[in-house]
This record gives sequence, structure tokens and C-alpha cells, in this order.
Amino acid sequence: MKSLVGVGLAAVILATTVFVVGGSAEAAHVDLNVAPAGELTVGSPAETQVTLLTADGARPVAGAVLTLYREASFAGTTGEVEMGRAITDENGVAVLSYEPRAAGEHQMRVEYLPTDATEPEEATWSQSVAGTTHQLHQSTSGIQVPGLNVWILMAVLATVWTILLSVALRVIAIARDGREVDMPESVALEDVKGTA
Amino acid sequence: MTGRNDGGSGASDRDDTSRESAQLPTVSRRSVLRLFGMAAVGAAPLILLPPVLRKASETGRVESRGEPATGPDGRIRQWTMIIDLRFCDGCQSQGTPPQCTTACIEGHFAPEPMEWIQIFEQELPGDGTQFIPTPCQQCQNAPCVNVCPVGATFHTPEGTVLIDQDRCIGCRICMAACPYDRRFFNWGDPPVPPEALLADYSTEHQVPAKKGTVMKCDFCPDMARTGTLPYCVQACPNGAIYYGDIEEDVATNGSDIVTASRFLSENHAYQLKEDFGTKPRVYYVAGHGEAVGRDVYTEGRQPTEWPWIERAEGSRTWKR
Amino acid sequence: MEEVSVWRDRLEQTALAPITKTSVWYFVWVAALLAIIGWGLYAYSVQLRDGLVETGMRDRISWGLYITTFVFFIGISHAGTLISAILRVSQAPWRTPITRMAEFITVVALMCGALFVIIDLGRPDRLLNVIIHGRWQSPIIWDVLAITTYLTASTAYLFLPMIPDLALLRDRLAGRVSRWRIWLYSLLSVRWKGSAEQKRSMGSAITVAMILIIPIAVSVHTVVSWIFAMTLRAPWNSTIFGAFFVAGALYSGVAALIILMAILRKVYHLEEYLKVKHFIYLGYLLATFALIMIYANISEFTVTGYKLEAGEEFHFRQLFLNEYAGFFWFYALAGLVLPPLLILMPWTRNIWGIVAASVLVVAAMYVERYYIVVTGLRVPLMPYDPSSYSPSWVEISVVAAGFALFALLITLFIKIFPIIAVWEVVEEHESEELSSAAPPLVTQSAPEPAGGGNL
Repeated sequence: MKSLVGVGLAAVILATTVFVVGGSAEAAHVDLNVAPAGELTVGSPAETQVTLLTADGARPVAGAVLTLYREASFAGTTGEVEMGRAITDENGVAVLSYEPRAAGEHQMRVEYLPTDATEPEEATWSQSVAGTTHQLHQSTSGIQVPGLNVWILMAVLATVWTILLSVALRVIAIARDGREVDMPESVALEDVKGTA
Repeated sequence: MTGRNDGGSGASDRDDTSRESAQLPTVSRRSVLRLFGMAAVGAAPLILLPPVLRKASETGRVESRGEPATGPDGRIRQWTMIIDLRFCDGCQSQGTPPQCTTACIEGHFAPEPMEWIQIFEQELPGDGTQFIPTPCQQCQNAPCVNVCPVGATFHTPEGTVLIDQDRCIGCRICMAACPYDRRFFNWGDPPVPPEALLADYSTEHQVPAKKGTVMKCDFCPDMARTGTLPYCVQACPNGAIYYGDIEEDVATNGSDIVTASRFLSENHAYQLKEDFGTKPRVYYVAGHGEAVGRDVYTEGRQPTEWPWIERAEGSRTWKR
Repeated sequence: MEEVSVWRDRLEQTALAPITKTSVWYFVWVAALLAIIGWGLYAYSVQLRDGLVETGMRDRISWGLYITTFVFFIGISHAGTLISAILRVSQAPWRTPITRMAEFITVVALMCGALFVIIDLGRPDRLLNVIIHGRWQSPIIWDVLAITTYLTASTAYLFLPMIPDLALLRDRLAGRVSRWRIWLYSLLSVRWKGSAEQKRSMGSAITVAMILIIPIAVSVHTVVSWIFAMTLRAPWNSTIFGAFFVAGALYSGVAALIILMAILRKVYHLEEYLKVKHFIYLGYLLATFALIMIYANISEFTVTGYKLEAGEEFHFRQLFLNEYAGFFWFYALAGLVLPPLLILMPWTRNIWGIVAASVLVVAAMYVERYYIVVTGLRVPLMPYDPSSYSPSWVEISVVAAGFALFALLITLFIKIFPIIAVWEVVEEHESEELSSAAPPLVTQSAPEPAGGGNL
């Protein structure tokens, strides 16, 4: 009999506690107002303004950490990826900024996890991002110095080979001169002009 | 005959200073111009020769492999890999040879003893060890691309580095240049299973291997283009390897998906031998397999196996 | 002058003797060389059939004896440049009997060196890709361009001063040698008659070639060194490689020349023309280059050794203390320290001492190229155990055949072309005679016939 009363009392106290706690959670329920960004294009920053107010809309919640997620899909795997975080200011306003890199419909979700609650508060919406043909990631390597290029090598090589060919032409000149010595009657013009 | 008139070498006329000062030939400007003009005309064909030969020899550009892989709005993918070492224990807990290496070898019929992705065991301060799966780092300032004399190793628009085994002359300067030990040479007839010989060779799928040429990890570009993850990424039982696209800023290991830039920054990712300035596309998150329960002093790992070694009986293999 | 023409006839006789007379030993020597070359061809055929797996090379040490030999031969080829060009530019009179041999060595060494790069290729059947698809940015292409240019320039530089000698052979040897040889001499002497015009042309051509060939030669061994220096390997990642290799090339080239001179002097009785002073002057050059090489090595090792970056510590251990210590200390002591001592100490400053020093230098320089290639590749890049390399019989056979080919080509050259630049030696001898006579003799011969002798 006594144990039955004890259990019953415990149950009542437990229920009250739960009710009180649940009630207090009810009382602290917040309101997430999301103002999605406007026209979005890949590569330009997207800013989403989120206002965090208490449930009755009366007081702003400042200093709250908000996290932004996006539903992503790549190579057959889908899931949520974190896009950014922000902290609300004294007006309960936070601006979540990120740079969309994928075109198409984005399922966004902003989440607020209060310190004394286990369930996060969230708001979801969808926004479309227009694509672009401009490559955002430019892979760079090496430096460009005007004038320092492969053509220098080509020019040096061409010069050297030109000089070598001129040497070869000298040999031909020797052969030609030798023929003229054999035939002294035919006086070449060069003999007359070139020796002085 | 006095000595004076013999020979034409200017250096021998020491005593006559006027002749010494005229070391260079005294010729008219016209004849010099004529000489150089003729010589230039003679030299010009040498420079024109290679492009002419190129045109004549080509039936099609061997290096081209089709369109570059693009995202949904047509921007070209920029492949990257992020390897989370907190999840790599060298497959010690699996009791198997490293599965990334095994899958890569099987998928590409990589000849023994090539490990295109290789697990190195690095000593840590305090004498613990960590395992570092090392694929080709796909450097943006690739030493191998820089030194190749015939352009057989080249960059793709996606940022990957591939090899054209039909053009490679086997000089191996790229192997000397690679600072990560990621290039492998077919010293003899490559020991590959018979089914490999049936494959259609392309630079994106280096099957079958060709004697006297260089091979390496290629980031599986043919698979990635169709949205399939590379063999090593799929095979890792712990999901340690992420494959992603920097352009779309997303990466996945097959089950988890992350924003690549955030993942790299939040986890303080690093690159191998960053100081060399090779600008690799492979990033590492520090760890030693702790996320899958490995203690840093755990020793022992299964050696890699090649499934077709028995079927390649009689072919000359070589030491790594 | 009676004396001059007698002296000149004797010179011509000596210079022409190798061409006109062939002893049994010549054939024996050629046969032995052909046997070695034949064996090397067989070894290479094995390599072609099975691939480079027949060598001792492996992924982690992917260059070995072939590249060593290539670099070595290109180094030897700088003999000609130094002697012929630099000494000619500086008008050193004692160079005249040596220039021809030096130029021979250059041309032959370049051909043999280029051959070894091709031997080392995994796909020699695709050699033309180098021309069709060559990339200007590649050190190997720089190599191809430089060596081709140097070979052309050296051939020209060998040929040009030989024209008067070829004319001499054409005129003197009619009837004494076979007809095809007379035909060859006639063709190659390009109708040299010794006229003023021709002398002027040849003089200007030689001057141009002699000035041009010096920067070409410097560039050749510099780009050969850049095949190593353009990589990120710890022992090779050095900015002084270019100068280091050029100095080493000149060093080994002079030594090779001294050895060849000594051999030919003995075999063909050139004692009157190749005097002790030639060996001593070349010996001084050798000692100078030894000192330059010592400086270069001190520079390289002190600067890297003081800091001991990651790979460098391993390299220093393998080179100074462990596996390759034998190679390195032989090079340093027997190849760099001992030769200048031999040359500078009075009791070894003779032909024997200088030739011994040269043999040590040539051997040490080969060893140096070997350890540069192999130890450079041996430093581990990632956490793995270092590998080791030992040449296989195929590599050793092919390299031996390469040296035999080098010797064979020089042997054949001697049979066809005069080993001494006759006209240059005559000219220098007569200048010497004149300058040793009373001064009035000099001024008497000053007025020149129109158009003669001037350059």
C-alpha cells in the first residue's frame, strides 16, 4: 500500500516536471524569419537575412548561433552540407552569407540550436541559383614576365644556326675560288672588286 | 715560301699589330648581308619542319579524350582529393591488403609492382606511425609535365595530369622529376591478365599497359566524368578518401558529402611537400586512424597483392 | 731556307705515315674493338627484345650506367673546345700539334654520347617524337638542340683547319693510296689551292667558328647538367650544377686528350712534335681545372652540409660514410687531389706522371658521374627504404661497346685524316724560327703581297 502511494506520488511529480519543462520549452519557442536573398548567380555572394525573435515576437534573441545548410548531391551521394554560420546581433538579426557554386534549385535550411533545448529550431526554403559559364577556380602556375619566353631560345638557336650556315657558305666560297684558280682566263667580277 | 703567307689563321700573326687588331674578317656590308640572308633562308626550314611533320603524322590528336567533365551549368570540373587520415588505418583492422590499392590495381589492371595509390607508413614524433595513402598528387605546377620532352604527360582542363602512352618515349626524366615517387615504368613486358589486352586504350584508362612507357594514378577521369567515384574512393571501408570538385566546391567519400573549402579549412588540411611549390590537388587531414579505433603504436599491415601474378608466370618483373 | 724544307718534309712524312702504312697490330686492334662492339650489339639486342628490365635499373633508381656514360662522353667532348678554340683565341703557339687530336675527340665523343641517350630510351622506336612533338620547355630538348648544334659546329671546326692538310694529302698521296681515298681528299679539300682568296675565306670561317664554338660548348654541358638540376631531388637541386659540370667537362676533356696524345706519340713516333712541354702545359691546365673542381666541390658540399636539409643528410651519409663512400673518396682523393700534386711536384712532372694523372682523372670523372646519377636518385622521396642499383651484364657490355666504338672511330680517323695539323705546325715553326732570328728579319718580311695573309 505504502509503495503504491510512493510510486503514484513519484509519477505525479515526474509528470508535473515534464509538464513544467515542456511548458517552459513551449514558452521559449523562437521564431525564425528568413528573408532569402534575391536573384542568385553562381559566383556572386548570396546573403540571407535571418531574424530570431522569441515566440511572442516581442524580444529579439541576440548572440544566437545560426547555421546554414544546403542539400547537395555529388557523384551519387546526397546529403546536407554546411554552408556558413552567423551570430545574431542585438536586434536578433544575422546575415548568413555564402557563395553558391552550383546552379539549380537549392534546398536551404537554417538551424538554431538553443543552449537549453535539445531540438534545433529550423526553417527551410528553396532558392534557385542561376548558372554561369565563367570558371570560378583558375588554376595558376608559373609567372608571366613580358618578354621572357620560349621565343628567346628560338631566337638564339636561329642566330647560331645562321652563323653556322654562313661558315658553310665560306667553304663553298673556297671551292668556288679554287675553280677560278684553275681557269685563270675567266676573270670573275669578285676578283676584280673584292680583294682591296 | 715564307711563313707569312701560309695558312689563314689569324691567331698566328702575332708580330704585326695592325693585323692583330683586324681579327674579324674585313668584308663589305653587302656581302655580310647577303651571307646572312642566304643563311637565314637555309635555316628557316628547320624551324618549319616540326609542325609540318606533326601535321603529316597525325590521324587525330592522340591526347584528346573527349569533352571535359562539366558541372550542371557547363563549368569544367576541377577534380580534387581530400584524404582524411583520421580514418585511415592502412586496413589493419580489416586484416586485408590496403583496399584502395587493391581496387585500383584490379580496376586498372596495374602491372605488378605498381601501386598507383600507395600507403606509406610515416613515423610521428613519439615513435607512433600514421598511414598516408598517396595517389598521384595531380600537381598544378607539375614537374613531370614541365620536363617531358615530347609532351606525353599533360594537363587536362579538369586539372588532372595524364600520360599518353602512345607518345611516351621512355626517357624517364619525369620519374626523376616527380618528388612524390608516383610514377612507374614498364621495364619489360607488363605482367597483366589476358582480359586487359582486350581493353580499348585511351589516356583516361591506361589499359593495357605498354612496354617502355610510364604510368601513374590518373584520378579515374573516365569514371569521374560520368559521376562515378574512383576505385580507391569507393573501396575504402572507412571512407577516408574524399573526391570532389573545387569548381562546385563539393566533395564526397561515397557516403558523406561536404563543402570542400570548409572541410579543408576547418580541419587545417595540408599538402605533401608544400614547400616545393608543386601545388598539388590532393589534400590531407592529419590523423592516424583514430576515428576507426587505431592506436598510434599499432604495428603490422598486410602487403599488397596482385591477383594475376600466377597468370603472369614467366614474364619478367622487376623490383620497385 | 734549306732547314725549313727538310724539317717540313720530315713533318709531312710523319704526319702521312699513319695514312700510308698499316701494320699488323692495327688490324689486331681494330679486330679486338669490333669484337667488343659486336658483343655490345648482342647485349643491346637482348635489351631491345626484353625491354629495359634487362638492366639493373628500377622505378626508384631509374637512371644508371647509360646516363652516366652519356654525361661522361659529352664531358670528354669539351677537349676540342678548350684546346682548339680557347687556345687559338688566346693565340697560344704550342697548341698547333694538338688541335687535330682534340677536335677528333670532340666529334667522336659527341657522337658516342648522343648514342647513349638513345640506348637508354624505353621506346627508341618513337625517337622521331622528339622532333615531331618536341617541347621547347624540356631539358631533354635543350640537350638535343645543344648537342646537335655542337656536333655541327665541331665538325665544321674539325673540317675547316683540315682543308689545307687534305689538299696536301690530295697532292702528295696520288698513287700511294687507293683511288677512293684520293677522291675523298679531293672532295673534302674543296679545291684548295692556297690562293689568297681561299686563305681569307678559310681564315674568316675559322675565326667565326672558333668564337662561336666556345659559348656553344659551355651551353652544351650546362643543359646536360640541367637535366638533373631541373628536378626537385635533394642532391641535384642546386644552382651551381651548370658551372660545376662545365668545369668537370673541361677537366675530363683535357685528361682524355693527354692520354690520346701519349698513345699516338708512342705509336706514330711523334716525339719531335709532341714534346714534353706540350704535356707539361696541358698538365698545368689539368691542375688548374683540378683546383677549380676542388673549389666547386667544397662550395657545393659546405653550403648544403652546413644546413643538412631533410634529404641532404641521407645523401651525405650515403656518399661520405656508407654505401658510396668508396666511389666518392676515390674521386676526391685520387681524382681531384692527387693529379695536381703529380703535376706540380717536380719529380713527377714528366710525361709518365702527367699521363698517370690523366688516367686517374678520367677514371675519377666517370665515377663522379656515376655517383651523381645514382645517389641522386637513391635518396628516398617518401617513407620507404632506399633501393640499390647495380648494373647488369647488358649495361656493362653496351657501355664497353660504347668505349670501343669511341676508340674505333678515332682509330679510323687516324687512318684517313692527318693527326697533326701540318700547315699550322709549319706556320708556327717558321714563326718561331723567324722570331728567334735577328729582329731585322722580322721587319723585312713585314710588307705583304696584296691581299695575302690578312684576315
